[in-house]
Amino acid sequence: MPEVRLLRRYEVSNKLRIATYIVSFILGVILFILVEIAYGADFNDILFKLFIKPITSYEDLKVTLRYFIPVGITSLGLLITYRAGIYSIGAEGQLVLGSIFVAWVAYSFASLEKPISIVMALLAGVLGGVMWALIPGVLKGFLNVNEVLTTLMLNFVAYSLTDYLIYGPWRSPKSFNFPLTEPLNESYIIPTYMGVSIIGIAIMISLIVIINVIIKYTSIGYEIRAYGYNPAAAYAAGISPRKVALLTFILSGALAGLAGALQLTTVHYRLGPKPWSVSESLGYTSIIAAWLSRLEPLAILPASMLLAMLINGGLNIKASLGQPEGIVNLMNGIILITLVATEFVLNYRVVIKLR
Amino acid sequence: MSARNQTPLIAVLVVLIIVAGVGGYLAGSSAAPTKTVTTTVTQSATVTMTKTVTTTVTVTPQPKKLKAAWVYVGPIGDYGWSHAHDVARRYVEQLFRDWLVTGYVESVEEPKVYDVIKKLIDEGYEVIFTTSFGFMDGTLKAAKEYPNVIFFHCSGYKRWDNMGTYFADLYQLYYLNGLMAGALTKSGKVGYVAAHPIPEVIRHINAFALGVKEVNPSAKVYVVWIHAWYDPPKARAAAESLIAQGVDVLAFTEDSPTVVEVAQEYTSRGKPVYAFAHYSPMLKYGPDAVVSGQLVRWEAIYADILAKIYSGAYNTTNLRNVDYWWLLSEGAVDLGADFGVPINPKFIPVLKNITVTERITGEKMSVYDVVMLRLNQMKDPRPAFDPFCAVSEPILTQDGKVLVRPGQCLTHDDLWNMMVFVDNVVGSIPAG
Repeated sequence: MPEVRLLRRYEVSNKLRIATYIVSFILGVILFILVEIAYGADFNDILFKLFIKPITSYEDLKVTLRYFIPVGITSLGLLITYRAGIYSIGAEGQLVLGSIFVAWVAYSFASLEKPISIVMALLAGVLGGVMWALIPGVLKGFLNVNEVLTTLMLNFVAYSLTDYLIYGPWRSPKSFNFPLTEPLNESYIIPTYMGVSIIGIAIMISLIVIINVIIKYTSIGYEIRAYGYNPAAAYAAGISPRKVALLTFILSGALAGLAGALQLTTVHYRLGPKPWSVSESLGYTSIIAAWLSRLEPLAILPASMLLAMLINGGLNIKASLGQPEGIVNLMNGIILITLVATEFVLNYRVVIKLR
Repeated sequence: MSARNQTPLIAVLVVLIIVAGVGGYLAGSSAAPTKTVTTTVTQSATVTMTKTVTTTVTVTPQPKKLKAAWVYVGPIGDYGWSHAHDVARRYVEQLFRDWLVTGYVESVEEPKVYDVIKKLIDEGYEVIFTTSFGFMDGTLKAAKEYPNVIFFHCSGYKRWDNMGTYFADLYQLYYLNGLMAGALTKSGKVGYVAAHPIPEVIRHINAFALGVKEVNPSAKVYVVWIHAWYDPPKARAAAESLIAQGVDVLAFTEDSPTVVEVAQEYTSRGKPVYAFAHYSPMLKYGPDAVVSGQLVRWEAIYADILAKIYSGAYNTTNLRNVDYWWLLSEGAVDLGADFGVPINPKFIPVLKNITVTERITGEKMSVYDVVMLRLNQMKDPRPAFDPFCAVSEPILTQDGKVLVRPGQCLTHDDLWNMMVFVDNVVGSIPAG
């Protein structure tokens, strides 16, 4: 019997880290291909529709990018709270509130002209996200209420609030009483260039750079990281848990709200007919993107790109290959679980001794 | 570091392999790929539709094949809305097998419909049916972008040169169900488990209540909203709460047989509660409890649309005013607990024994005869009856206002906008 020993790794080089991700990703894809072969599909077709078409066909690339932007911005915000050891899953609700605030501004100040209208809309989105994030932030900072519960539950409150608005006061009189709001005025719609929201991508990339600097090179970033490593030690060193909780929630809420504003102003233009029809549940997808990035701001780019590709690839599997929803769920499950599971290799060194 | 640390590594590998294997096996065995023509369709639920497809490619090639795709909001196995559309898709695929090729996409989240349509067009589909109200904006956007593709959107109101709309409405059947419910209730309390407060559902509740009132003027219809199209646990809770209030007959709008199952459970426990099936044949879920129900035959509409597209009567420029609003007289819907079973035979003697006064002629006849009379009146190509026509007395709303004056009928737009309850409904329409 060979003896297998596991040794804890304390430092992992970036090279090994990246290599592990690539290998585990390929492993996940192979496992999924096995599933597809068992299902009776042609795996060349699958690989093409899943990984090549989403970035090579221009029509497909547009779809990939449309998910890339909100996932990137929202996961960047979540990353900040996770760096502080605060496990917010409330980006979904903050995103929804951002879109509600934008809609409110757009309906209340319908006569504003571009570019003021756009700036107002984006600020309103940020404000909505921040306000929704401050509820768990204050509860956490002042009363030490568990943020996992509060953020999760507030997501459903945000859905219900949307429902109230689209079934109630904001229901469009022209919609035959269906639950829809009026579409936004032309002045509140952010233009795209050849179907791609250049503004959205520019905002996302500059935010990634800014957050990277804040986290790594400022005293605020230091406090956030220190609190995340060891709250007790950080407290002893004079770092205020209150400040960390409020700050991280404000930042992540601002980013999620901004993503909500972009969703409404570049993609959907109106609320309804389902409470998640603006958020598209991307607030939850962003949690996965944040953890896949290993809480490294620059790695948000590949992580959210991967998830955007998987969303688009999933649609390809259903629409282009005519496969059922179950296959798509299997694909997401297998590929993401393999990616997370191989984390093990980064924490332990496997030593096999032949005796 | 000891040997026990092997466990995680091995566990992870084993779990992954099992997941892959089992998943592949299940996926492979549960759902057949749509493109294979020789697959035998063996779903027992849809007896009238299933025909073993043994056709190989016909030797004399047709000059033109038409590729049509369906986009569903739910899984095809939901046993409600999406299932009914898919039954119809398989039916027309078989009916027009010489020239029609079909495909479908299930469980499409409403905001993603535009992305999905683009992919279908990329695959060469020329006709696209989108079957959820929430698909409306995305379908219209695609219709404007792809003027050479024909679109049909189910349940919406926006049309374009190359985008028509269609709907098969059930209100006449709810009315017929209401007649039976009013006759069968002993407590005078009839329940309705309702999905979302939109005009379609409100129209159905009102039609049902008008039926109840016609045979049982003192009975009330109690409404509970579950705010979901598909939510078996909530539907169960709603049904049970209605029964706890003394309701003994239930109708509903929800895409599962849950309410029927609840009724069957109570009935077999010796506390009879009766129910009306919704959308799909549900007799087998409640053989002692299902009285009748509403059935849909989307294939009537799909066959008409596709034949007209194939013949060239519909093209990419003339759909702006094409709106199907098909009812009993067009054969798009039907009365029944199951196909071919308009009324559960167990309840026929009961309904034949209850005598009421037919309100138009004043004649005394059994409830069974009234139901059949009305069914035939509404099946007529020029329907001689409509539940939303007031005959001698006005139809009143909950707060006593006149909804329909004697001798008048509601128009299509009135029905589409309906946001008030008639006077024997108990409950309110939330928000708005």
